[in-house]
Amino acid sequence: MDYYLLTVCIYVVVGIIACWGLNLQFGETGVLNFAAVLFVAVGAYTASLFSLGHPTPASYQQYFWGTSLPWPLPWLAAGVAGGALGLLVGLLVLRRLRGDYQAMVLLVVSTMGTYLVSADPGLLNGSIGLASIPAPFKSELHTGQVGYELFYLGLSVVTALIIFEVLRRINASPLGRVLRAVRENEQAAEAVGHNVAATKLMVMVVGGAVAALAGAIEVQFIGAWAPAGWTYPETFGLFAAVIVGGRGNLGGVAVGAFLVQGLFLEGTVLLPNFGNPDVIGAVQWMSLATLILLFLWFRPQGVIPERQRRFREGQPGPLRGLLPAQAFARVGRGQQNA
Amino acid sequence: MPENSVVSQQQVPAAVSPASAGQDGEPLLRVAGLTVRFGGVVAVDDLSFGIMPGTAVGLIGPNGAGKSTALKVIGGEVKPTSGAVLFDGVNLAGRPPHVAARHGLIRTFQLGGEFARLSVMENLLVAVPRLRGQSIWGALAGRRWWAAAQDAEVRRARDVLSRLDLTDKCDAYARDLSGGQRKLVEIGRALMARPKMLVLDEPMAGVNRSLARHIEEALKALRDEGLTLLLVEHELGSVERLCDRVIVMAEGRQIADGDMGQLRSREEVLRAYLGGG
Repeated sequence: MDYYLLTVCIYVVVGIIACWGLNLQFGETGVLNFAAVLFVAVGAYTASLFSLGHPTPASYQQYFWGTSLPWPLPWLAAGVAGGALGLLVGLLVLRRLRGDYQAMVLLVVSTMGTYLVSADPGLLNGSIGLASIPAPFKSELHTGQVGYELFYLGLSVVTALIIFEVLRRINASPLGRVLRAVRENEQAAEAVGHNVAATKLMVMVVGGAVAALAGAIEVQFIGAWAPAGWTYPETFGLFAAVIVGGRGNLGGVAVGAFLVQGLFLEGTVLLPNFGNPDVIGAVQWMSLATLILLFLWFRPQGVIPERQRRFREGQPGPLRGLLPAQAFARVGRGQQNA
Repeated sequence: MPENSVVSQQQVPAAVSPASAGQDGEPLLRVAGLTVRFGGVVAVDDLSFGIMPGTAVGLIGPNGAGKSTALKVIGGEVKPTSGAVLFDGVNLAGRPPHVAARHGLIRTFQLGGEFARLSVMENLLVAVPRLRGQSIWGALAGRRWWAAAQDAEVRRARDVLSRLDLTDKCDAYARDLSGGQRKLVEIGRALMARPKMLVLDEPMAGVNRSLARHIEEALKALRDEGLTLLLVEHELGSVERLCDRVIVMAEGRQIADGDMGQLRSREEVLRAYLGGG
């Protein structure tokens, strides 16, 4: 039971990190990143390639390239790869298309990624996927399985805390306010001087790097990664967590990830088997869709809503300071008229 | 109305050198030969005018005259088919809206221009240009890096809110305000952007009479302080009280340019806009 609980805890931490990445994009900036799971997958594959070692012809699995670097380099490489994917996808999608079309193209990109990896076994071992991905420090630590999982959970939590601090700083800063403004009204944000396309590109890069880190943590824990684990519906599991927890609130999203990834999805796994073996999986997705609908209808702000910002009292300054000097081309006209 | 505040169509050359615009004695905004075609439809046809710094100019005309399209071109939302939009010496035609805003040309919207789920104070602070902490590195540097600069802007925003009688709404979400209050928030937000010129799209539309009067008074005060205004508005009484000069458009073309007193007697204006008198 300890083993199972620790495993679920690590999955929850991974889910929280992935949802934080999506929250930056969707919750704070309004980018409907329907390719969210693709970023997790890119992180997982990158961490795998940076830890598996060089591929050999005699190996039971094929991949186009690999090396073996010590931790944390595979995780860092995953973050860089996620950011690079965010930049690439963002450049292709965000500049010319409107929000709903961006979402459609991102969904297509995600599906293309799954098909591409599945279709070419020489790339990342096709639909069978990669296995035997080394776990960091496992051979050095002689702690047994439960002890190692405890260690890995600690490593994941420390990483999550660092990511939390980065995202909290963004959220609390004037930049966070700009992101929320873009989410609320892109046209108005542009009209007051913010480059909306560049802002969205930035959140695709940062959010993509965060989601990729989640993938790296997950893959080095479970030791295997295959296309079946990152099909496009998985993205909606992440969206469900963000919506249920509370868009734009890091704490809320963490609660949402715990509720959806930990309790809801894991809970349905514990249901007794009935009928066709596929029924449980179908029930899982139908329940998830229902959960999203219920929250969107009855509590769109989520379990923990976005914080309402208040500003402390300040001393009023001179009225003449309200406008720049250039604005006063006809200084004193009011007095003249009077 | 000062003589030199009016730059008639005849005074604006068809092609304007960016280097020559925006200097002393030059119009702050100069629109030259602006044409916008959507397929076969000509929405704006060879529109040319200039606006001197510190003047308030109204752009009026019947529905479909091309006023809003002209405003969108000036604000950067729509690319013109041809022509120039010279603002403070820079040709903004075809440049995106944020570029126009960064040069000091700030526009407001006819409908829904507020950030609904941001507080009124946040709506104003978003518009502060180049505020510390708006870049990713500034944000990651933490509160110490940007707090003092933000505090100064919060004080400035309180002044703006006090001036617009919105002090008690400071922490309210913009979505919880009335239509007129939202328009005031937009005007306040525009002021926070340190504008050289405000471009206002029907600021009094859909607003009750008392708030419309309040908006008009706020704009009058800004005009009296010397802020340059370009205003599209259907409420002609407000236009007359606010604007030094009015440009009339019909079917995409500029048909008249002068003060409201002069325009009332122009037959083409009466025919196109005032219902034949």
